[in-house]
Amino acid sequence: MKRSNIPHLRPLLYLFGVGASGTLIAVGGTGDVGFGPIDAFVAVITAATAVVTLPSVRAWALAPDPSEGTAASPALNRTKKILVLVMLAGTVAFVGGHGTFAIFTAETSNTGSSISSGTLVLNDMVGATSCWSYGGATSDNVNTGCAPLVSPTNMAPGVSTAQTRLTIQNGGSLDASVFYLTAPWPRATLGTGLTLGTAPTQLSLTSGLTTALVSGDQVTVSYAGHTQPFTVGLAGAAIGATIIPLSSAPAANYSYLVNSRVEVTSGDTSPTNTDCYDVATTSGTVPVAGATPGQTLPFVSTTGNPLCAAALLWVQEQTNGVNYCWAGRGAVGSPAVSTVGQCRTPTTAALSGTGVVAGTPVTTLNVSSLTGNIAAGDTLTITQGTNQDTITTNAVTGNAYINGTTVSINSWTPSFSYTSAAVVKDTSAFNALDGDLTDTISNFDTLHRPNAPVALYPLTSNTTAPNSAATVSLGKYGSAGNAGYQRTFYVGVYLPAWSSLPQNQLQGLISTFGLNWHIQQ
Amino acid sequence: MSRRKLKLVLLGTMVIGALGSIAVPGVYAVYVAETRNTQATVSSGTLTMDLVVNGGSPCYSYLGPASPGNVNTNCDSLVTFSSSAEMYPGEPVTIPVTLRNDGSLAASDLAVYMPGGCTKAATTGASSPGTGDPCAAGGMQFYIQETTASGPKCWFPAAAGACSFTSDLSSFAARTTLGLSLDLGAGPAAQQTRTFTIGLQEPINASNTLQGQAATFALAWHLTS
Repeated sequence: MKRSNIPHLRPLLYLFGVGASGTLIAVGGTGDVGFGPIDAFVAVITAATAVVTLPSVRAWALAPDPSEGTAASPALNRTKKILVLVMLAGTVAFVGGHGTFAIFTAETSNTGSSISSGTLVLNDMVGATSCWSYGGATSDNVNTGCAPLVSPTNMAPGVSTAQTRLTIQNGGSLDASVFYLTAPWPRATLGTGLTLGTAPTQLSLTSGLTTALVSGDQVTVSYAGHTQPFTVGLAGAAIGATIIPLSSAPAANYSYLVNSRVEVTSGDTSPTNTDCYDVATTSGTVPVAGATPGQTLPFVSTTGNPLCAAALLWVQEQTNGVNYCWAGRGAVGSPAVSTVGQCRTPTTAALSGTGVVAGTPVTTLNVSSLTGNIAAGDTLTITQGTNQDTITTNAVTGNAYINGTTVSINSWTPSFSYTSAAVVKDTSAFNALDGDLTDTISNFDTLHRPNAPVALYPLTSNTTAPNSAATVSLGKYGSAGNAGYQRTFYVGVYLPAWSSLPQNQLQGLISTFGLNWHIQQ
Repeated sequence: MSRRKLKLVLLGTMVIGALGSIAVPGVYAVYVAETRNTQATVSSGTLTMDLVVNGGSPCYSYLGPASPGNVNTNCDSLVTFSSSAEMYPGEPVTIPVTLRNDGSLAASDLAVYMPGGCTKAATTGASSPGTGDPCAAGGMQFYIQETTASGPKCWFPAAAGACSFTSDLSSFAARTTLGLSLDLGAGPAAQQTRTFTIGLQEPINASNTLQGQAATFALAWHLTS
């Protein structure tokens, strides 16, 4: 091919080389396209293209090839070579450098965007012992293994009581709009796992059932957020059984592991099938070595869980100095609802300091930190040795709460100089509780099973109902106020003395029970 | 865009909206957390006792009938008189009684009473029984004495130190119920015992009318937790 045959070749090649090189530099400058091996190759090709446009090289490129046969064909072949080279460069540039080819560019990047989920975890502190909801064996933010609330032994009617301070904390980053207290379902743990897709014929448990099951009863198996209900088979299961036969069970919807939670969701309907259950003490569990165990006593039976049905339970909240009775005598639904936020508790106390002086009138009793409540108008007795006086609390200002250290009383002139060894007893409270057959553990279980919870709304004042309209009941960690991240409860039990009913059937028994604390986003 | 394509796009959008309005309400799962204070226990104690009369076998309170329970009315008699063990005026009979709290609870109180009081009857085999009444005033004499670490204590008739026959059985026989019982103070602690001596005597100056007469009575020992 002659030079005159391609009059536009030179400027074309020149412009292409300059343009391609400039584009590459511009793209590299934006940082949008990395200058990797491919880009290097493109640059080389482009540079070569530019070189071709130089006069000497162009002369070479357009000179006839001696090996080529005709005058026309050599020029054509070189042109083809160059064009092929240019096409290659274009192709590589398209594939390897497809970034931004505008000269003027502008760009912003919102980098580091993320989605972060909050946490909602519950800390159940009995005393100083923490128990986190996420620490449970079933990996589903349900921890069924928190510390026992109380464990009084060797209880005698009319005498024995026990109370524990419990702090419930929201340890998460989210507010809990719902906070409630319930009795648990009667429960067990799975001893043999279930296989996904396989229909079980029975549930094997790690330990014996604490309540009897009959055909048609419902049990639920849970693990790691998976739950599946099953129906008890015709044979049912007795207390102590470690096998629950199933009726036409569906295939397992998950591979439930050993120690999965097994809950009797048809339970908590009567004292016979509550979460609270009784066993008789044995020679190994009787609280005094050598003493007659309950197991020996022919008049003692665990049928109907009689101790669960006799022992009284209360749950008193005291958060930021505000009190409310959530369960027990004084709670809504009990025979004597308190209007001042007090559960009836079997309260005794000791005088603090040097006590009182005989003959000197007193209107305020200074006492050691109260372990229970005292109501306005109550009758108190103060006893030391054979000395005893009767006192009446002030009808208006006489309410005293757990942890209080003073009790306002009607003017009292002691007949004896009582010291800190004296015992102050709220006889009104004891009398009220000794006649109480209602506020029992069994009744709490049947009234407040998991599908009938006590909604723990934030407190407002001792005399005002909790705020049921509140949108937060247990705030996120670190939040303050009555709906802040922690709320404090006192859970107690008392074995009342029934003045006109026999109680020997309550001897030598152990009642075991639990409480559920539940929060929800 | 052709009208046909536009219709297809709008139809697709409507379907998505409908699905959304149906499906979304089912997607309100929220975070929950739960703890359980399990294994709280309430354990009641036991209060049982046994009675050993005159060194015999223990008689356990809980081995009585199931109802009312923990009441055993079949313990050994204090004394069974026979022809070889008849009583004579001025010759006392003393019966040691040991009471043990077998339970785990301390007894806050021990009381004793005579359920049914005292009943007289002619001595079995007596040929010509008198007409007197050992259960009446002037009849059989009676005391209850406790042996304590500090020496004897007379509970009935109440007196310091050892008892003497200064009171009739009839006086005590009026204590027929728990409500009328003689309070013997705080009972034995768990696993502890208290030892008593029951004294009986025909008065030294007994009338002949008491010949051939027998007194039948029971003593009930009652512990309260």
